[in-house]
Amino acid sequence: MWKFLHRLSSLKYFYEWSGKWVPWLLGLTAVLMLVGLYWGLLVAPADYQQGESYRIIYVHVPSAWMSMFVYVVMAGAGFVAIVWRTKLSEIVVSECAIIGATFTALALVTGMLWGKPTWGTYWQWDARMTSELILLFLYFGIIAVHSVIEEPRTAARVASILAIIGVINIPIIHYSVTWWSSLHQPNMQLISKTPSVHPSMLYPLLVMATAFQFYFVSLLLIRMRNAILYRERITNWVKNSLARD
Amino acid sequence: MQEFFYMDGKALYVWGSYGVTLVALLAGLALARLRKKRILREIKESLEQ
Repeated sequence: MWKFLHRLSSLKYFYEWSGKWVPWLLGLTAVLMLVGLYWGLLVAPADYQQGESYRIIYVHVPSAWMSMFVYVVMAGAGFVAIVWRTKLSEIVVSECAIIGATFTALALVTGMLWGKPTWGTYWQWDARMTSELILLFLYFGIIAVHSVIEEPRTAARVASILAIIGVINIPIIHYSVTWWSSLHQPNMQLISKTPSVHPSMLYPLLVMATAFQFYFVSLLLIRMRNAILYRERITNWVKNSLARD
Repeated sequence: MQEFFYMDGKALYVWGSYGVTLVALLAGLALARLRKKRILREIKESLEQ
């Protein structure tokens, strides 16, 4: 296990290893996405209070979950980058920032589009929405660090520290609807004897959430491979593998 | 069928959400692909010099 992880941390080895996985991951993402869309849009029943507009849940909730999940992955990679100084974890930090910012922006936009017909307003400065907006700014900050500091390894160190400090925002987002009164509905109770979402609506949501997970892993690997190719563009292994094609 | 696209009169919000999500996810993949092509071209040009 440790031997495998050690080999994987070599950029060349990771590039070759990940190349085998990308097409399968993308295929699985597409299948899950199609099943989830079909199930959520056509099979799942309408909501007894909200009617059809609740179907926004199938893109909003997976985006919002991913916006936090990607942040935790990024901060974890930042910790590894600071402690062990591995280049691969530095690349994870910089590539996660852009993907995470996309998910966060999607969560905010789809949330606004859900809020208008449901609450009568696109936006309110309550704890859930404000803390999610702060998450977006944290991602922007980490992206900015990478574009302002030219030396990639220095940039990675600063970005990692920022990512680790920003983790404090994640439990704030999660518990914001419990700690403060909000327009936003409370968190779903999934692990309980009486789940707060009926299976006919929950299963398509879980399929969509899994599809988003696979999308994230696929895009992260693709982006990391690009970053490796760029960083290593003057090395012999990159030149040789190109000459072979 | 018409009812499906009508979405209780919330079509703009529902289809707007799905549309913006799919466009963003596909754009992420497309941009990564473009970047790969650009990097490969750059490396090939440097090889020819």
